[in-house]
Amino acid sequence: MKIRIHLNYLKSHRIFKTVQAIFYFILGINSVVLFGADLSARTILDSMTMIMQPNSSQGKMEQEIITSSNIKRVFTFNYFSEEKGKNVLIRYMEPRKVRHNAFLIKNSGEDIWVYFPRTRRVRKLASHAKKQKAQGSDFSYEDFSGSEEWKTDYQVKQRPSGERKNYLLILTPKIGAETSYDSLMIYVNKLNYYPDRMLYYQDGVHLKTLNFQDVKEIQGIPTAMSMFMENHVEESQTTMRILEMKYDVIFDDGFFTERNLKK
Amino acid sequence: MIYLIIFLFPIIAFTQVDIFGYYEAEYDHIQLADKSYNFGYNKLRLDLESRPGENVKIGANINFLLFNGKTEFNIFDFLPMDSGEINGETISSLSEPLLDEMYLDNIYLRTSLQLFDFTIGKQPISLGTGYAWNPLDIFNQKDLIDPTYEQAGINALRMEIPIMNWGTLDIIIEPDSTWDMSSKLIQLKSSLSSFDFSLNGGNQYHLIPSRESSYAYDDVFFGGGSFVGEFWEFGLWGETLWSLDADNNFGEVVFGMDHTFNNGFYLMAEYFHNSLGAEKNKVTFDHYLYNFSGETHSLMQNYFFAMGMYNLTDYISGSLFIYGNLDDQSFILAPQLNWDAFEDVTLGALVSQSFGENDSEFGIQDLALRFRLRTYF
Repeated sequence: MKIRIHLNYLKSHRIFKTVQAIFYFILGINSVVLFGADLSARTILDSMTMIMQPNSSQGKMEQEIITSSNIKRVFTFNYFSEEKGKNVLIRYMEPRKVRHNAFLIKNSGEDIWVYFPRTRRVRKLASHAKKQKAQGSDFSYEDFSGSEEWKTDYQVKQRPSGERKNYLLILTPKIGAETSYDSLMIYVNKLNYYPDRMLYYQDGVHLKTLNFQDVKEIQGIPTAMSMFMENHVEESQTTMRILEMKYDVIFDDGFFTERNLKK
Repeated sequence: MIYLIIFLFPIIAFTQVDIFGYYEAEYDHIQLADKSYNFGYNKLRLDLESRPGENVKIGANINFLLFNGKTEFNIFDFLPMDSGEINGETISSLSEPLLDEMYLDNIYLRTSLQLFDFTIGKQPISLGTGYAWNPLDIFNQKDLIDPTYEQAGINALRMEIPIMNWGTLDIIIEPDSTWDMSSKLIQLKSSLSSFDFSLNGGNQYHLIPSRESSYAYDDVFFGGGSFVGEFWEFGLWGETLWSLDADNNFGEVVFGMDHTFNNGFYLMAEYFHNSLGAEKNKVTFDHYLYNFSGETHSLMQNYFFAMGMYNLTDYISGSLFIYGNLDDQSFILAPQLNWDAFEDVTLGALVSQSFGENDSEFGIQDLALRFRLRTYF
């Protein structure tokens, strides 16, 4: 009798386990169908931000601005960043008019200080200024900051890109997040997870497109040696070229401070 | 000055000195009630900068100024009174000549040591968070028509000491003939959330209010502070410096705010109060003299400054600023255009029109035009 009960128990337990396995299998398939795309989008975004934003960097860049009236201006500046672009220091070298003018951008653009060497004056800009053009270029101060806030301020979804080599990510602001753009469309290279181009939308209008060109490896990190920003509303263009760049730089304590801004 | 050039030339020739600067030409027209004047200047600013070591910087600049047009002004043309009294003597003419000059505006050495930065020499000093007024800046006076123009160098010793990651202690001493006559300022600067703030203390041989005459001089201790940050998308700032003498309490305070709209339009406004200024209907010739000489930061007590700026094109910006004396209800309205004509060339045109009674501070100034060209090299 005991044996029969035991066999019945084993039988029912086996059936239960089988049902459980089928249940989890079905649930698993549904999960993949329901949530798999979003998980994948998040993974792609994480991989992209990890690759395109090394922990720290130091370089020299050239910024060429071509206005809608076809006037060309070239700026050269030294660029320093830490904490994946959370803190950035930019020191202009050319043209002479802005020589040694410097910007300190901290907390992903939340705090901006500007330094004028002729008066040795440091002025703190309110964060609304981060949306403004940096030196008349098509890059805003915010664009110089890191991409970490894409993960915190935006929801990300993957959509078919229609391109064999790229993923397409759509970023839309989370409720309550203060962002400069309505949405971002990012085409990400499937091989190296480096962005191919980004489309910025503001008030429903396709405002500008950033193209990453001439991607080379520096210290094993893919780096776009040229970034071409096209403003579709103002019909202006800005090209940012990397003249020198090195990664994993160890900065002294106090490098990203007002004290160093004035040096 | 010849000796200076003889001294500097070998340094420039044999060391790695970075030479840059600008040429500036300005033409002005002033229309007063019954007179008008044209005047202007050519200015060459030669900046020299050398870094003999990684943590040492030597900076200097020489200004050459050549005036043209009217080069001698009678102060009374700009005052709502025909005569004044100096040392008991009544005068109806006080000449202010503009002389061609060549001078060393700044020459300083700055060294960055591990624990602090030290700067010695004639150096640019700019303190405070205000745009048009800076009560904390006991070393300079700003020009309301051009508040961001570079100011004359201050002969001083300055030590900036970082205090861990907390903030900076800034000590500035402008030496004079005696310790009591020297100006001293100490500033503790830090930040809290999105606000930067400072606490300040100072000591200066300074004007004080006097019952017998409008002003007297005394050794004054000051206390004050400043803040800058943002609240609800608006930039906010303020600063104050007040005498610590309970029997003779006076000082200045400024508050300001700004905002940049999404279309790029920038708007800012400031209010300034100076208790050392003349009270309403009690302005004397002395008040004007002390204000012209920079001893007081304003003629009267209550002022405002507002500015709107917009980039009309990528390289042309238009701005309109208005500032005025709230006590005598006079103000200046000044539209301005700035054009970055070439990479290192800027052109500016400004018109200013005054409003107010003829016996008011700004009402007497009527109309003025200014053209300015600046080329950097």
